[in-house]
Amino acid sequence: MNQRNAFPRWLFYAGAAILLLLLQSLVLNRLRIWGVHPFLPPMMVAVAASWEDRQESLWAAAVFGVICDLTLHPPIPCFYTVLFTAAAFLSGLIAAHWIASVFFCAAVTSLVALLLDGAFHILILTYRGVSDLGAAALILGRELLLTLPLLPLVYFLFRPIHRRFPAD
Amino acid sequence: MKRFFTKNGILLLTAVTIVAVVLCVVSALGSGSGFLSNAAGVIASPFRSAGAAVSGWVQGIGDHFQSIEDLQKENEALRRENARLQESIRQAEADSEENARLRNVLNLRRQRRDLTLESAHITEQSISNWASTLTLSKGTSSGISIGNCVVDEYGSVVGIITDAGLNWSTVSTLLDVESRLGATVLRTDETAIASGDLRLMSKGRLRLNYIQGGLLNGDLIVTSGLGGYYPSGLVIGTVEEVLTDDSGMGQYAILAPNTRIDALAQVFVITGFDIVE
Repeated sequence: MNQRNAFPRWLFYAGAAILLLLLQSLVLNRLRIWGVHPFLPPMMVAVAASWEDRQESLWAAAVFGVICDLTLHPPIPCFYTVLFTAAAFLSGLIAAHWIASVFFCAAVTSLVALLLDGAFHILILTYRGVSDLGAAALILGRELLLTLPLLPLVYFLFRPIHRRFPAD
Repeated sequence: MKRFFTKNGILLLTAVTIVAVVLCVVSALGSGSGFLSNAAGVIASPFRSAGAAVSGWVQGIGDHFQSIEDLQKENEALRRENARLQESIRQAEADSEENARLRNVLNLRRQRRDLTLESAHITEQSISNWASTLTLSKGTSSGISIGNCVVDEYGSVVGIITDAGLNWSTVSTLLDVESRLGATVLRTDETAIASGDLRLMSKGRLRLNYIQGGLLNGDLIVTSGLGGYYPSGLVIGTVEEVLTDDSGMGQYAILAPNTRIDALAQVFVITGFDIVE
């Protein structure tokens, strides 16, 4: 592992993440189709974790989660920290053991991360007494339909960073 | 190496989960905003304000290109409504004078509504599809506290403050699945509960539950003020449709809120009120 590259690599990822978060808040939040808008953050974590060093990805996901938790008003404390760490963990496992194709792997891990996000939300809503699973599934389905087509945007923004600062 | 990673990965995931559970418990036991959350909110405030400024600029450009035909239609509708309101005001003035005379005769206290308002800008709309929240540019240093009611410039309810830091606060809007407000049907004085609904949230609508019947489309729904938590008479919305619930025994109504939550830039927090009915 090339430790020398680790700092600039994650610094560039942070810059790219800020760009995507700006896009999320300035454009995508207003792009409501079927009353739902695309939600990029879980996809950002999944794409980076699908090709980067797994241990680094986990820590980066946890730090990104902490920042999101402190600024985005999560439904419960540490929501995004747990979600993103779990998403990075699963993405690392999928990339290492099951899928070889890089783009397809990024697509599958993004799908898993978004499903995990939806599952976490449904769990919290169920705990709080909102038990309309049909409505929750509808929101999750629409979110997936709107977010997954944006995978190339995240993929092609992150890929040059991965290539410029390789881990191995 | 793989075993090492797997072990460490699970360890980190477990540690994060334990910290999350502990923070959930601490947050549930405590009240108000935690120190970390408060500090992060204070630090993030200038960035949110900058983001809101850029966002407002982008929206302004979009609004500039709004169809002239749409604006003409809206103008025509507003003219008609204005004429109707002028007539209502004339009648209301006469009624007010009569009311004042009768109150004098009966020696009743004069009706009044004193609301203490704190204006605030919206620095962030909720980023998640699972909740409907707004972040405001003011917090506890401006007298805002959890449970305060938030209204728009026309006095229509926007939501309730659910979290407050030093210079920021979070509003759960009317549409949020966890919002609940005591409501009154203005025409019949019937009381009900207006609450957010997961199925309706994405459509920008909310539910009116526990209604007895006799509700008509277009009925105006206002806050009941029962319990004294929120002022009475603030407009929540209008009845769009009356439906029978799944059990077939009761009815509920779908409300269209009076305020356009996604188009708001500034709101007013009611930090205190004194109402004599």
